[in-house]
Amino acid sequence: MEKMDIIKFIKRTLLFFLAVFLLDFTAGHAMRYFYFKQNSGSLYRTTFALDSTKAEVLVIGSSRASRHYNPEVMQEKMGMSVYNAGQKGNHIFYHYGILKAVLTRYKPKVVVLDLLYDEFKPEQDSYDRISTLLPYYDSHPELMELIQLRGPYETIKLRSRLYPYNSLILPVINGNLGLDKKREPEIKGFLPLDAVMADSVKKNSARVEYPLDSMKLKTYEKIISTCKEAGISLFIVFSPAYLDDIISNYSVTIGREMAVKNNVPFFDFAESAPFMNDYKLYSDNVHLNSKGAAIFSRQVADSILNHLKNPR
Amino acid sequence: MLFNSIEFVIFFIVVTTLYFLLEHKYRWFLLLAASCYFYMAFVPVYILILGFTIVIDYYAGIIIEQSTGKKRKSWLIVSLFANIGVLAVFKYYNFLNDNLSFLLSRAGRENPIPYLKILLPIGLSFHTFQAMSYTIEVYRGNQKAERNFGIYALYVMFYPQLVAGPIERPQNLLFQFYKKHSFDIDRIFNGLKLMLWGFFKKLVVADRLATYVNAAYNYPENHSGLTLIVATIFFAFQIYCDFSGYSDIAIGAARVMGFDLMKNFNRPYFSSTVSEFWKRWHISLSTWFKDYLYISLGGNRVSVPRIYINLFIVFLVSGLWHGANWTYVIWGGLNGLYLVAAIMRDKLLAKYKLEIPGAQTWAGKSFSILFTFLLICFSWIFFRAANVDVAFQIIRKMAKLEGPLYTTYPTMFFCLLSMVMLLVVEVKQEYFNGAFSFMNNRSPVVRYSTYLFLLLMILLMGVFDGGQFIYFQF
Repeated sequence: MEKMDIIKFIKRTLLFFLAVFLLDFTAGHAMRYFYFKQNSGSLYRTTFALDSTKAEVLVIGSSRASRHYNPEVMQEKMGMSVYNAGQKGNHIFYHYGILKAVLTRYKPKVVVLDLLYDEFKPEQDSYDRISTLLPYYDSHPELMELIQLRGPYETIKLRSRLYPYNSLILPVINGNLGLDKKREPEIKGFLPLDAVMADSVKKNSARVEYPLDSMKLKTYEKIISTCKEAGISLFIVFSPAYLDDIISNYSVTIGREMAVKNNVPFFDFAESAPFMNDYKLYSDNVHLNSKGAAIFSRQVADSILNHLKNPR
Repeated sequence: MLFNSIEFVIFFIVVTTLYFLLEHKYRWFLLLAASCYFYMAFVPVYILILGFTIVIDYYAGIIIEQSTGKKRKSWLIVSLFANIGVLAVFKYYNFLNDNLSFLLSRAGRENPIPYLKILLPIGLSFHTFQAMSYTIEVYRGNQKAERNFGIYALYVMFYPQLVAGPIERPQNLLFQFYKKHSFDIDRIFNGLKLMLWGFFKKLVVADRLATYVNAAYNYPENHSGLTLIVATIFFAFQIYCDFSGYSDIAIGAARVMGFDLMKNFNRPYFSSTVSEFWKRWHISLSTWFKDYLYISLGGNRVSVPRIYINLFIVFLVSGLWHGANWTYVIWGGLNGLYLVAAIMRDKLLAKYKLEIPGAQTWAGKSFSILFTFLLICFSWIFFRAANVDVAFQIIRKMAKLEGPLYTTYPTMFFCLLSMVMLLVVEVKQEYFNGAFSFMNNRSPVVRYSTYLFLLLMILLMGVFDGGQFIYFQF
């Protein structure tokens, strides 16, 4: 009786796993098809940055990058094509991934890395967010090194065709229907914010030291060395934030020191005029609005140009 | 080792396969070794704490059984002291010291007692309570002392329920380790189905809702009252699915190997009174407190005011059981107050032979369910808030109801969709249990399609970076 049960169990389990495999294969391929068919939205911007842009100036960073750097303003000032590859909610690992993938296709003349405050703080979320790169694991093998930082079982998980598209069904639908385009206009990767901050209250930014995430520091160093080896002019920028005492943010301080040590220009806009005291240039405490972004883009383009003309 | 990890899937398959391959007499040893490995995957050295209480309780059980008079009681006290002592040191020491520091600072003095820099052993409150239930039951004469040390250790450490329950009683679990469990295909599939539903609840509902709840509760100053109300309702479902999901996986994993663990949840949000809620929520803990604390305090055999005080004490202790923070004490106290108020109301109605108009109608019952849910949600604010000040800040904001609702569209969409799927299943189970069943349908096509649908939902919508179960920290 028990033997019969075991045989029945094995048969049913095998059948079930076969069905799971077929479901995963079919649904995974459907998701992949629609993922790469998108023509707008945040996921599409990652695909464009990885596979299509050939801009001479490439901006990489988090949402602060995507909201702060207006490529049209910068292009006009610099006379070079600019693409903003900033992606909300992402961290140094994603930025390095974009750089690595881009370098397999072409070499930008200038890379601007927008450094996030508290970038080097150890936070699990930074590793979880590498999931943004999962859909590209097979088309961009150079990203696997970063994808594996998510955990020791990532290679096993990627046996599933659906896994890379986990939680993406709604953004993929939007990206195919172009709904984001209507809601959030995009200019070469730049996502302007129209709102103006409601009041002039500066939030506290805690002036604390914390244990640094060695993997993030290593990745930051890799961005610097990769650009050096490729002969790309790298500029690291800390863009404006309406926060108290942001200039002494521990990660920004460390980032600045490492940049100086490696002879990489570091532009710190933490306390620069007019951003320090004009809350009307912000949409919220950490994001400039379109007016602020236009002023900032001109300033950062000037700084880069000056440096390119007169390298120190 | 988390249930929602690849490690656990591999561990479960290996242990279960070996379990059925081994001869019955060696199975307990395999389970004990597997349970040790499971526990040591968190902080290995903490197994020594577990070992310490296991040794004490094992010998205490035997001595209690063999002794009479004062000696019995003394050994019960030794056992309880060891278990509560471990809890006191690892869970409550720094909390008590914090409060002492606060009181001394009021008097302008410094607290000379140092803080302990220790991590709370995972699931400590669960296994100490399970261990205590053993010695109490031996003392009461309801359970024979276990002579096989390994089997007793397994009773405390049985991996499916080691770190977050259900908190078992010796009468229900110990004898099962001696029973030969055959390879029963129906029981195995039953267990696997329960595990699948548990994973769905944890990965698709709880962890998805957590993304919204954490955004609101971690930075309440940045969010409107409306957002905080929505986050609190979401939290009610998050904690339910997180904890009942864990229980389902635990019960399912045990069932696959032939063990029956006690039911821990029974669709609590369909309760029409707070008293009913506590009969449906975390049943293994509620009954533990009833059996070992409430009855020890006199149960229902004391005066009415004393019953109220006892109930209140039980809920305060239950709050403290959940965590060393005043937020949990207030949460417990609030639930105690709800319960006392409900009993007082019922007594008054009975005394004057009154009835609440429409209470038995469909609308009346729905109102009672909604009202109970809102009362419970209000208490969850204290459970989830970082501290008491934050909880009151949240309540003040909720009262004002100003500002926009925080929505990030994929999060909101997934949150609502997952809640709807859960509610459809729970409404069906609560009110139409005999009706059409998907998971237990006679047609294999319907049954297997349902399993595949749940798996598809987990793969498409599950949060794979969600991390720990909330109740692990207790």
